Amino acid sequence: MKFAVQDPYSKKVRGYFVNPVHAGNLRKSYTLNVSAAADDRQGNTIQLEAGIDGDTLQELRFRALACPHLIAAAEHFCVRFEGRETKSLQEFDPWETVRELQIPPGKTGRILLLEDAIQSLRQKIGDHSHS
Amino acid sequence: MRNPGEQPVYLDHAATTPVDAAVAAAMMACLESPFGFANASSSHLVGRQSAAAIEHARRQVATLLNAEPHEIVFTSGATESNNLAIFGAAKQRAHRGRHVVTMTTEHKAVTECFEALEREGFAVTWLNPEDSGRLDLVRLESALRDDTQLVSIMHVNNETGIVQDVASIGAICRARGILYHCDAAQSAGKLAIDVRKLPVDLLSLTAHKFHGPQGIGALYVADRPGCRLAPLIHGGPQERRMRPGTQAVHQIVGFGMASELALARRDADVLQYRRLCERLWQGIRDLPDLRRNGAAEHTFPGILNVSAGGVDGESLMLALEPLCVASGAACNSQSGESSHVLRAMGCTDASAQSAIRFSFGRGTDKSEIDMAIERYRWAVKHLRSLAPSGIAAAMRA
Repeated sequence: MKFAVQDPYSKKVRGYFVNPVHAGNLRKSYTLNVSAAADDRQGNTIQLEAGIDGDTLQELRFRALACPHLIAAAEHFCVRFEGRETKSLQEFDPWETVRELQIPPGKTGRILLLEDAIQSLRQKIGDHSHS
Repeated sequence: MRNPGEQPVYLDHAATTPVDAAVAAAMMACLESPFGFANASSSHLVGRQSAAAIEHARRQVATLLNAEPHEIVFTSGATESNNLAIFGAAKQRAHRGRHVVTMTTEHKAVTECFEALEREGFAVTWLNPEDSGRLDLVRLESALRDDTQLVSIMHVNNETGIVQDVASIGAICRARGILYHCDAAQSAGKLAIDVRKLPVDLLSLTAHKFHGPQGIGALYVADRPGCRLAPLIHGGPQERRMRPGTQAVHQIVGFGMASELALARRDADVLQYRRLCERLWQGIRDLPDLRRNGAAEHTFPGILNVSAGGVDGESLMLALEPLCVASGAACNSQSGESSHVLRAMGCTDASAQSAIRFSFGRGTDKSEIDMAIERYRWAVKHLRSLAPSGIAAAMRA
């Protein structure tokens, strides 16, 4: 007998989880190195680092103590935004991440933690460019 | 994570065990026999044959516990047995007193019964374990009152494998005329239980924890004065009116066979679990910030529960694939909370979240344990390498 088994993790989540190429710290110094973090009461923590030359996000890195969906979302963010202009960060749409990674309804709240960290990163980049 | 083609390695025998081939054969023989379909309450020949098969199985289950056959009441499993014991005893004795006692580390099938009794106006004393997971007997004695009617404390904990001193608990209760119920879902068929020597009045067990079928269990009800239960359901004379309804003959036959096999293999099984458990623990214990949940000297060797600092429980479960193990993480529980058992034992929420329960069965072999060691070490290191800098540095120390 064989039955259809539902996998709580999409192929993309599994792929990013097992091989998160952007996990870790920045590999070199840039004109501007910025880091930001967010955590919640459940013990999930996410750290983002951005290496910036001019207006470009040359390198993005993350670290996370989190569930597979949040780790995958962080990797997905780095893949999508690395190499783009800093102002593109305002285009981050958590629902795009939810759709792309097929994150189940009960887990969508976790992505807000990533959104908080990105918001904090944007703010710090803005502070530096105004100083 | 699981590579393509890798087969699952099942180390979750505390959840359920595969049905032994001899048990499945006995059940099939029953289903295919000319009497297997018959209602055991019918007085005709085929019905009597069905009834005889049930009584044979009842003797097999009774022998496992050294009980008398008429002291065995068949139910659908340990959850129903616990409900019948707790509500049945509390309600039968409510006119004498409405105080009952249990532990915070019991299975939900017990704690939720006591919560329901609380809502019905019973006074419940909830006892916390020591950090070892065991109950302080002095604390139990001081909790008992003149109006205490029932104490329910499990034998082997389903998450940690902690073994309670049920002989002493039973003796304390019996000296005061208080009924003692023991949830033995994790120990029956695995540890020796002799109800002629053990002062226990009510004892729950279930077949699927020791290589029998799911959907069948029993409640041992001691044939002693005062040990009577109010039934939860009504509708017939079956099971001494304590659990009316047409009996599932093939399930009961399977339960009987599983009991007979367990009795014959129990000591060899436990010896094997001890070797496997020790091999697994020795293979991972040098990882930094690892905690074994429950004092080893009081733990049933079929279960090993460990927490690792700096990792998320759900991520750990995914990284451990294709190992089939249980997690203390909220995401992996239907209640949405981390393990209440581990938190009651003094674990932080983070530690409870990262807990993994490995549990072994009759078919578990050394190669599976070696794979579990390799996979667990890799998973913990992988997740710690992703963790925020401060946490990762602390784990390397």
